[in-house]
Amino acid sequence: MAEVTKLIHKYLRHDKKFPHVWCPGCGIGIMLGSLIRAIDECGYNKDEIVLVSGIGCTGRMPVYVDFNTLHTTHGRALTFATGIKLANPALKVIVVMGDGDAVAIGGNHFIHAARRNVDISTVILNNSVYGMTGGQYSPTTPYGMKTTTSPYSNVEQSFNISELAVAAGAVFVARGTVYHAKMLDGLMEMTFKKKGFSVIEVIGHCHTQYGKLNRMGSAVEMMKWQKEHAVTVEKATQMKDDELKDKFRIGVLVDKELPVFHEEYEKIRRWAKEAK
Amino acid sequence: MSDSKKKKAPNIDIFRAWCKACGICVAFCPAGVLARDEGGYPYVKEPDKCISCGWCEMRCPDFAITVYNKDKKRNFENDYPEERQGK
Repeated sequence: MAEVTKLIHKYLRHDKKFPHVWCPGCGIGIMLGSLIRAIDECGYNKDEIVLVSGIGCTGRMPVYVDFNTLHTTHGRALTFATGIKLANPALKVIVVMGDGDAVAIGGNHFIHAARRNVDISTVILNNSVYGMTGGQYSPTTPYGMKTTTSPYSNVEQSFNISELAVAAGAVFVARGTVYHAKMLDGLMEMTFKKKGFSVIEVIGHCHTQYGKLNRMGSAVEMMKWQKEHAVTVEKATQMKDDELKDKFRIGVLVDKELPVFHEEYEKIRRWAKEAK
Repeated sequence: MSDSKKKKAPNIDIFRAWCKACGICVAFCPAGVLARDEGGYPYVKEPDKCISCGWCEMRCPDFAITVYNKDKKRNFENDYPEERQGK
């Protein structure tokens, strides 16, 4: 197994400050490892990959990896990524975002990038809270949970990122958790290989902000929570609705084919030139 | 002699400079090989129990733990007779 760490070290920028900035036990570190393993498994060169991020805990990720990286403004990672993909379609564009980045500030960009089917792989880490800015509630904070801006309890209903992506028309939608790290490797690999707007929602944990206020315990306890509440898509088909009430499905949720934006655009461009 | 010495040596390398003592490797070790010291940092308590599954390495958020194969003779290639190794 020693190859796993060796492989990760191959893709890190060793001139940056290590250990990284995330809290002890943060799921983003596990997700970063999974992302690197999946990229290596797909066989991309370092120079072929563009890793784009917004702001937040997850937004710190491109600092540490040795790809072409871009750290953009809050919520606008997908717009930058669309520009990169259209300017140079040969590049593999991967966007990493947090839940607040993807569906709150960048919510509009997210649904319209999915609708247009731009060839971008999107990795969204859902930790149910704005971690870096102080633990405010985000659109994915479940009803009745405490955060620093909802100290009594959250009165809003939460977004389901995967279902939002399905409804917006993403061609590939998957969900995984940081506890199921090996499964996450496979799902990430499928996400990166898919042509079109592919989304993977990674259920992470924020024990520093969210876990502390809701008495969910340490990182270990929150990972056990993920283990207990995750049900694979195959298993969920055999379960009743009331059994699935407080559970979430993990695995591939949607996999379909649709024409990709930059190819269609190129076709129209050629057609218009010839018609002239 | 050298073989028996190799077996006794712990095959889990913990890089203390990067470790943040989160306890994930200790909590999810299926064989109970690791334990935490007073500072919360992991150490190899029972190296002989290690089954080389690599879950501590997979789940370490800080890439601070490495599992080397317990016994180099158990490598895939060495399982085959010498004449078949080339194929």
